[in-house]
Amino acid sequence: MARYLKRGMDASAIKAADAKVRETVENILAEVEARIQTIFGQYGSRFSEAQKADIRRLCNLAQLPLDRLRAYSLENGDGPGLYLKPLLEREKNPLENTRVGKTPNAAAKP
Amino acid sequence: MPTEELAFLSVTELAKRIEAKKLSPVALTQYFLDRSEKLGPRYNAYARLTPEIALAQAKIAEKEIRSGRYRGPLHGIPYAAKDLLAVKGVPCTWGAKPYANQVFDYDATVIEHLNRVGAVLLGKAAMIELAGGMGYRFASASLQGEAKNPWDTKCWTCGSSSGSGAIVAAGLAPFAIGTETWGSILCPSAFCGVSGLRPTYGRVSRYGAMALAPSMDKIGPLARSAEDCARVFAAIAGHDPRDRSTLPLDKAAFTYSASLELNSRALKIGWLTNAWKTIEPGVAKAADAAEKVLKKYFSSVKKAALPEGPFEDAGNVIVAVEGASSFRSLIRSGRVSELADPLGQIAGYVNEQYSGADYLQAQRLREILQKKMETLFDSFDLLVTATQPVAATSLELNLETGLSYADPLGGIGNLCGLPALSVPCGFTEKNLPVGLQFMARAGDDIAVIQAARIYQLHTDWHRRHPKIT
Repeated sequence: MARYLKRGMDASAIKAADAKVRETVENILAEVEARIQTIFGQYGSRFSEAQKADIRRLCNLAQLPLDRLRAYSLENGDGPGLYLKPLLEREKNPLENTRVGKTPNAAAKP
Repeated sequence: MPTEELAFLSVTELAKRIEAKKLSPVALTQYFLDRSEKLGPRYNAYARLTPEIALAQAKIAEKEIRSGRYRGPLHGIPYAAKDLLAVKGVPCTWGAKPYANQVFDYDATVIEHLNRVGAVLLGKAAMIELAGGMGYRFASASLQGEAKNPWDTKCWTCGSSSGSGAIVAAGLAPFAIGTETWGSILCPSAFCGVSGLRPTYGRVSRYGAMALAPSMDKIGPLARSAEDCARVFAAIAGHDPRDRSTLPLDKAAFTYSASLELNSRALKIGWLTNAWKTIEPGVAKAADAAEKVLKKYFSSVKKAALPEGPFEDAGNVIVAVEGASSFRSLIRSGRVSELADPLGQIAGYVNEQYSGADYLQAQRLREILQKKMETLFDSFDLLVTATQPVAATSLELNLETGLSYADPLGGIGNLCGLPALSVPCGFTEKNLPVGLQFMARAGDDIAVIQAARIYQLHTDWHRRHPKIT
């Protein structure tokens, strides 16, 4: 695939692309390794060798989903999830929903 | 009355007999206590029984009903509560050895609500340790041991509401309370062949419940039918100032009327085409048959697709980070090593390493996803598919590899706090139950109940139960 994509590129462009890929991979590996070393540095004495290998494996496994998440393009104004919204709504007008005569579950009806 | 019939009657059917004074709450409670004591250990279903509480509550219920003070459809009905809900003076283990001796001096709001309507607490249901909050690799990840599926005791119930699933499936209680952060009500419902409701996030107070991922944790019932789930949901839903994530009064409360609900509106169904990459043949066959039933009884059944993106990844990061925060003291003290599961002993250390920026990226993605789902629900009232792509798995299976399929539906549903209801829709060739999931817009719990009720009016899968001798 990579070879196919590089067809038609001149030698210097291929070299630059290869260097970029290498740098990306090295950064990812360094990040994973840093995470592993932080765990081992803080808690290493708690783990057996088998557990250490398992932790290393888990840290590696976690990286791909993390990279996919980071690659998702967001705008500056995209805020955190709406799970905070009910609290905000209530705090803006705490008495709004306590008025007599409002049907429970009204929101669920057409 | 044949005993097995009593064991598998629905809340609705039991309530009619209790209200008519043809069934004594004390006799019913004693019956379920005896049955639970005898059969519970077979499935590792209970963390503990609470016979003193149960009989005291049943006696009060009986006295009230005899004197004409009938409180409603849960009055005198026995139930089990997942062992992460605080019950005053009763050990609450969270399914985990480090908390084996934990006792609270208050009741969780859900327990208070059930006390108020006169329900009878039979006991605490076994569960996966910390509801799977530290990860787990095997079904045995529980202080109570592996929960065995009443349909086949060599198979698992799924988790983390494993005991709740086993209890309802084996006829040890008419309903049980479970919780879901990601799949923990719906999966046991599907694997155990019972009906389970995951309510909209914020409709049921988590006060007094173990926190795993506070922005995703939800509490709901597992029962014999969608109607029973609705009745329990009506009792436990509501705003609670002690859980500040609960919705405002009118949006949290739920009132249930069987006739009103069935006639409330024509529902537009979206049959999901991309929820599962592959589906086990026996599950696919049952789901295909269910789709045909839906096409017969719903005016609109069209294909629908979930939005695509790294939403499941976002959900995983949120659960991991919030779980690491909820159990920080357990991780840092090293007592996490007391957990039963090898993955549970170490995953917390890994989960602590996610950065704040990554967590917030996941939360921001959640907002995008919620908008996409709002748009999808402009075209459909409900999204429907098989609850799980597989039936109950072997007790020995390594879940980390054997149950590691992509679950965008669970990720999206739980990230957006959407209500969902799983009902039985058939069996595989090995006679293991298959679940059908209805999922709706946040706040539209009535839609999943209405749709599942209509489905159950025209099928009898929910009336099947395992043969237990």
